[in-house]
Order: sequence, then structure tokens, then C-alpha cells
Amino acid sequence: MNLPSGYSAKVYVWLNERLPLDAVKEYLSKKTVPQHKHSMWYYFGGLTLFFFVVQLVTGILLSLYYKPTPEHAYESVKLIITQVEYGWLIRSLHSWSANLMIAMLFIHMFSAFLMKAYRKPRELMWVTGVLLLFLVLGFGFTGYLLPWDTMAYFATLIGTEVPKTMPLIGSYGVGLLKGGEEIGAETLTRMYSIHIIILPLLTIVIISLHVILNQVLGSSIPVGIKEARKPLTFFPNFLYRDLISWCLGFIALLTLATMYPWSIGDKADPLASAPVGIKPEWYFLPLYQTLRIVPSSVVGINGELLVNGVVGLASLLWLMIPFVDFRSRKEQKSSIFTAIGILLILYLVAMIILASTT
Amino acid sequence: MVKRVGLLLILFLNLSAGIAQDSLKRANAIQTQPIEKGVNFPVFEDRMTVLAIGIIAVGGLAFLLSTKRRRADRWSE
Repeated sequence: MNLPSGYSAKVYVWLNERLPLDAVKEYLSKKTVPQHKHSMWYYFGGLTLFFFVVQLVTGILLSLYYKPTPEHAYESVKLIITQVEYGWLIRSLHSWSANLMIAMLFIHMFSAFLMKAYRKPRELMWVTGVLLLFLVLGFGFTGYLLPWDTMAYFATLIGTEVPKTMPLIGSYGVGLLKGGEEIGAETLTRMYSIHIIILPLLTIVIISLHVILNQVLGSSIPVGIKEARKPLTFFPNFLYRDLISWCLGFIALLTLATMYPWSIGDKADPLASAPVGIKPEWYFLPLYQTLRIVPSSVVGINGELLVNGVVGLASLLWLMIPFVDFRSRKEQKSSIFTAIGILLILYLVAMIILASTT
Repeated sequence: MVKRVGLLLILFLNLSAGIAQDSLKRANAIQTQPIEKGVNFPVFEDRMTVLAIGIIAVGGLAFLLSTKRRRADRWSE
């Protein structure tokens, strides 16, 4: 094993005597990443992880100034944007990286789905990935209220009404989240705690599991695809490519954050009537649009209840995909699941476009 | 090799500085325009300076990583 040269050699030797650095390096240099015509999709997992790290760093910086009370939340965000040095940039990076993280996660998830990367022995990678999707959506929902502006307040008010119709857990869950009947101080405190403590802890644990599984099991090759070239060594060849994609991701993020800095509306007034045209963030638009399309009563069943039930069941099925796609389990092509994936993508995109334009 | 990387880096920095200057020129025309009611972000000019510095720093890092990647690829061939 070659030791690094230059100034870092002594530090490396010192650490290597105390930590199994050589063993890790040896392991990673033996691990390979397949190269074929769909290899580019492997980078989106790393990009999702990168934007999550940006979330952590910028979130910690924002928490130094943010005050989670209805009296001070709005003013503290305004202070961050206008008075704190580069506060506008940190908040913009936080908000834009949240959106980019969710976008990368969707791309990563659907590419894994269409490449059937969940095939044996990678079932748990899929399950942990879908759990991460739920957690990330939770981040989006809980973070939206924090600026305490009109849009955030009323979108959360409407958003927390939707799950209420779910039998048994609906009203209990919403009550637990809101801390009372109204959206108020308790809701803001709870959303903040969930956003900065509970969700990050859960996410870090599941991400670690997901990444460890990826390192142990390696990347999957789609059924029927042959490797075009000899596989890439993970360390350092693939890692350099990953790091370069992170740099490009950061440049894209910085461009968005500086060209279109994240704004804030008027302070929320709980006594005022809800403004017209309130819409959730883009990743909740498919659910929002579906609720708009479905009538209030379908063959005697409450429309919201029906949509919630179908979405709940579909989410459960999505989590269990590796265990129900029997053809993929036998290393055979499963066109039905490919069609389901493509239809789902088309549905989500159509609902987002429809909700944004109407 | 070091000279070549150095020259390319200087070229890259020059280009980036050029882009930054261009951004600043364009910014002058609209720098007094507020972005959103209630909150005025730093003027366009300042934001573009931040962007230019960011692109130079992260772009430079990407360039260095790219040269290291090429070297690593050659080693493994």
C-alpha cells in the first residue's frame, strides 16, 4: 500500500497507527463501479447526499439566529436576510438545496426503480431509500412553516387538514404535530424540533445504513445490460468523478441562490382570511392536484379519505417493490414494473404542471 | 505537468474574472431594483460578485480534481 507523500504523510501515519485507514483504503480500492450506458445515473445518489450535507451546514448556521416563536420567527428570518452578513446567501442556499436535494432524490429513486436496482441482494437499499424519501418530504413540510409568513402559515393550515380524514391515526397525528386546535406557538415549536432534531437524527442513521449497504453490495447492473468497459475502481477513480459532480452541483446551487434569492412574504396573521391561490411546494403538488381533481364524494366515500387511502397504500407498495416484483427477483426483465414506473413519472410531472398552471 | 496545470489555472482564473467583470457591468443597470416587496436583498452587483467568486473557487477545485482523476485513470490502465 502506497503511503501519501508530502506534508500529510506524518499525519496519515499517525492516524493509521490508531485507525484502520489502510484497511479501509484497501477495501475501497478493491470495490468497483460498473461502467455501462446507464452509468451516469449512479451520480445522483451522491448528489442527493451532497445537498443533504449543504442542508446540515446551512441549517446549523440559520439556527444561530432563528427564533421559533410566532412573535419572533418572522423578524428573525428578516434579520437573517437583511442584517446578518451573508445571511441572505445562507438562507437561499438552504432553501434551494432543499429543493435540489428532493429533485436529485426523485431522479435517483426513479433511475434505481427503472434499472431494477432493488433486485436481490439490494432489497434493503431500496427500503432505506424510500424511507429517506419520506423523511425528506417531512423536512420539506416541517421547514415550510418556520419563516412564519402568510404563505407558510396558510399552506401549513391547509396541509395539516388533509391527513385528518385518515381513519384512526389521522386526527391523532395532526393533533400531535399541531399541539392544539390552531396553528400557533406549539405548532411552530414542534415543527422546529422535528425539523432540526428528530428528522436529522433519523436521516443520518438511515443514510449511513444506505451508504454502508451501497459500499458492501456495490452498484447494481440492470438486467440484460452488459458492461461496456472494465469497471471503475471506487477509490480513487469513481470518487474523483463523484467529487467533480458535487462541485458542479454546488455551482448550480450557488447560481440559483444568487440569481433568485429566497424571499419572504408578509408576516402571518392568523386572524386574516387565507389569500387566494395558496399552493404547496412543487413536491407536494401531485397530492394537492389529485385532491383538487377527485370529487368530495366518490360512490359514497369521502374524496379526501379515498385519496389518502390510495396514497397510503401506494406508498406501502412502493416500499415493498423488491418483494413483489417476482420477475426481477429471478433476474428477468419485468416490463410491467417498468411501465408502472414510467406511468408514475408521467403522472407526477403532469400533476405538477397542471397544479402550477391552473 | 505542474506548469501545464498552472497555465491552465491562470487561464481559467482570467476567464472567470472576465465573466465576473461582465456581470458587474450588467449589474449596474439594474442594481437599484428591489427583488421582493418588504425585503431588499443585496444589489444584483454584489450578488454576482459572490457568484463569480464561488464559481472561481469551486470551478478551480473541480479543475484540480479533474486533473487528479485523469492521473488516477492513467494509473489504473
